[in-house]
Amino acid sequence: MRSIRWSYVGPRLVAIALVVAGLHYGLPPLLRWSLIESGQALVGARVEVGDVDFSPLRTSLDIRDIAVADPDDPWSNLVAAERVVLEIEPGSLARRRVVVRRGSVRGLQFDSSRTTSGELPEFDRLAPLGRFVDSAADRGKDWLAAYWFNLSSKLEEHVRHEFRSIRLAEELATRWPRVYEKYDAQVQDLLARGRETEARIRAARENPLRNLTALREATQEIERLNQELGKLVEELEGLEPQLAGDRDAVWAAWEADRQKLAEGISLDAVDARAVSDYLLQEEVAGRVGTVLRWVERVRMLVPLVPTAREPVRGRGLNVLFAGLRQQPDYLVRSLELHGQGRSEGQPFTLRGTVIGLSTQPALYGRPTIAKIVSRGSVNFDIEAALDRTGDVPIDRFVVDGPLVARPSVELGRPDSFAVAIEGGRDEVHADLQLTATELSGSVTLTMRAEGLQVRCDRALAATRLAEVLSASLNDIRKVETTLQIDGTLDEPRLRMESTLGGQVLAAVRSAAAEEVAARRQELELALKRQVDGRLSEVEQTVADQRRQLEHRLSEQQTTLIRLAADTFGLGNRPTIRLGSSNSGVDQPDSRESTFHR
Amino acid sequence: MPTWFLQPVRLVATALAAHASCRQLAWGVALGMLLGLVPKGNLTALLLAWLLFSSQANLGLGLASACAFSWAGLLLDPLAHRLGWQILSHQPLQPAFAWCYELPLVAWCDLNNTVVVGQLVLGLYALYPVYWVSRQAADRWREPLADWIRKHAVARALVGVPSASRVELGEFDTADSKLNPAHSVLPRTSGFEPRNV
Repeated sequence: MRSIRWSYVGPRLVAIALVVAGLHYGLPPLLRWSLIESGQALVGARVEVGDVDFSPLRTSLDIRDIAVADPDDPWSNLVAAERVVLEIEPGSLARRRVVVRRGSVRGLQFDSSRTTSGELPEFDRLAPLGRFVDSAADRGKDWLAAYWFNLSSKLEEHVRHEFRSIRLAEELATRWPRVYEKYDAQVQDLLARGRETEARIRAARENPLRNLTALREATQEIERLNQELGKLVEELEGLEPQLAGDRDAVWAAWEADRQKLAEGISLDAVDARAVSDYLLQEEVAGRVGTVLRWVERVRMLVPLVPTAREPVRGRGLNVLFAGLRQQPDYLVRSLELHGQGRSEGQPFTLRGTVIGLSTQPALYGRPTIAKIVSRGSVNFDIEAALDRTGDVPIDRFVVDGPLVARPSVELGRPDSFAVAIEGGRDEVHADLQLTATELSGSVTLTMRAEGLQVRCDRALAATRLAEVLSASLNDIRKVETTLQIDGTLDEPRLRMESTLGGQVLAAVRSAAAEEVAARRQELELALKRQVDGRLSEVEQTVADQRRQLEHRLSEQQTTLIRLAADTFGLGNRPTIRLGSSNSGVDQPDSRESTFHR
Repeated sequence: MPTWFLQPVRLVATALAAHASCRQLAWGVALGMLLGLVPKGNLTALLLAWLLFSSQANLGLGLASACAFSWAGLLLDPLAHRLGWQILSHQPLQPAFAWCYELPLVAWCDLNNTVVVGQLVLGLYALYPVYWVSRQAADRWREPLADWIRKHAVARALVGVPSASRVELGEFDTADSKLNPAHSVLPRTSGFEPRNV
């Protein structure tokens, strides 16, 4: 005892006692400050803590009235709790660790309102997750109106291009006039030659003996002209049966087309998925965005990169002794959650546990498991496993059961085409996995309703389509949507498949089929009128051209007779019978024309 | 004139010339050396400081020695690290080390750090040699220094009046480094009680 300087030690022992007492009363404010600062740094929004009570002897930490503001909505809380009690293992403090043996959170609330803004201007907020709603909705805005109002023109176009009778009639209308034009040109040529021959004969007749050769040549020319004329007449006579045959072919094609019309018209293939995307993308994107936002927040609380204990001054190395298992610096073995809330005025309760929450999960060696169960007006089960024990963090979230009651919602664009669903309950099953930053999983959303209502613009509302759609969609009681999610949390990609697109499309097709059926008779008549019209045009044109030809042929015939008479100078003028195979001289009055039927 | 910055100097000078025995001075240097070598910020350094402050070793020289040997410790870090590594990685002792590390408060001592252990071992190894050398130096140089303080006004000013007075009055028997009670003329109430060291 004589070696102890009591004048020094005594007062200092008193000082230590005072320090301990100071810690007992001074440590809580320090802890409160550190909780606020670290919480705000982690979340990026205001954190408020009421009273903090810490007893070194009991090693329990009692925090009251804690509220963490939502960084995306400064006037609501991300999470709030009335009381948080953490029982710290005493031995862990002596071993330079903080291990919470058991903790409980009471009065837990999500999205509660605030009286003051929770914004911290110096922190960046999470960007809203609307980035995977692309322009598909814009592209699909007028799809239905365009589809329906183009139906008529599509039908007409289909008739024009698909029906053979129309094509044949068009072809006849083009071909036959050309045929007659060709013959007309030949006849005119004959006439011209005839006149020329006549002129030569007249000139030769002035001195027949001297111009005997010319007369002979003229005679030969007359014979040739007569033969050609005869051939021409035969060919012309053969045209009539051809025209009749072509006409019969057109009518046969019309019959076949009429049969095809009765079988139905294939309409443009519209992708049901495109319809689903147009109707559901915005609504689903909002919900999935909310889910992914919560996933981001949970990941924020459990860091991806574990914090390591660094040497205080960075001198030397800390040796991990063989047989000594390195433990995490901060660990919460078990945390109970108790909370409540209200949904549409109806209460629900929350119960949950979080196991193995640590700042160094790789050292802890086990994933953090969170299970939350809600009962009451909102029923759901959420289970999350955050595995950061390996090199690659793997997080898995499974959500089951209905979420909050859903209010009435309009899917699509009411100024174009939209489907209104009355308020009800949605069932959700989500299974998401995050491997590092890669997101994968699926979300199944079942929307229940007492029928769907159609909303569209005035022009469309006046058509049969709106009536048929309303009748069809009113029978729908359930819309199931499955989303396959991949990409990353920052850039998620959705592939959506929903029954709604198929149901709407089926209703549209039904309406279109009815419309086509109603118009089929009209189309049949229109088709027949069109074919008939074209054939009549052809016949009229052919008749006119034939008459013209007949007139010219008569003229030619007269010319030839006159030529023959002038050549031979005979009283009995030879006649040429039209329709004989050889040129021949016949009775002058027995001209016949076999062209007219 | 503010004199607070002279307090360490006065403490050392008083220790050398007027107050402490050579043994106290030597232990002050030795314990200060041990404290200076060990990296701070852990329970080991705190315990060593407690040891220095709670013992009869001279505080002034102890703190001066700690300050000086802190700089020397930086230079000795590579050697200390190798020494500490050799000790801490010694396989037969691993189970013992692991068991000790799991004891309460041991983790706060940073005794699993190579430099802390190495400097501690170096310090303990040099503890008695430093003490012996310091003792010899104190025996040899304390008297000449006391005379110098007595003779020079500047020195007295540096040392301060109370200590200078005690030297002049010859309170100390410099031959055996013991306080001579017969020569004490200061009243008891002054706080300078004669005592055996």
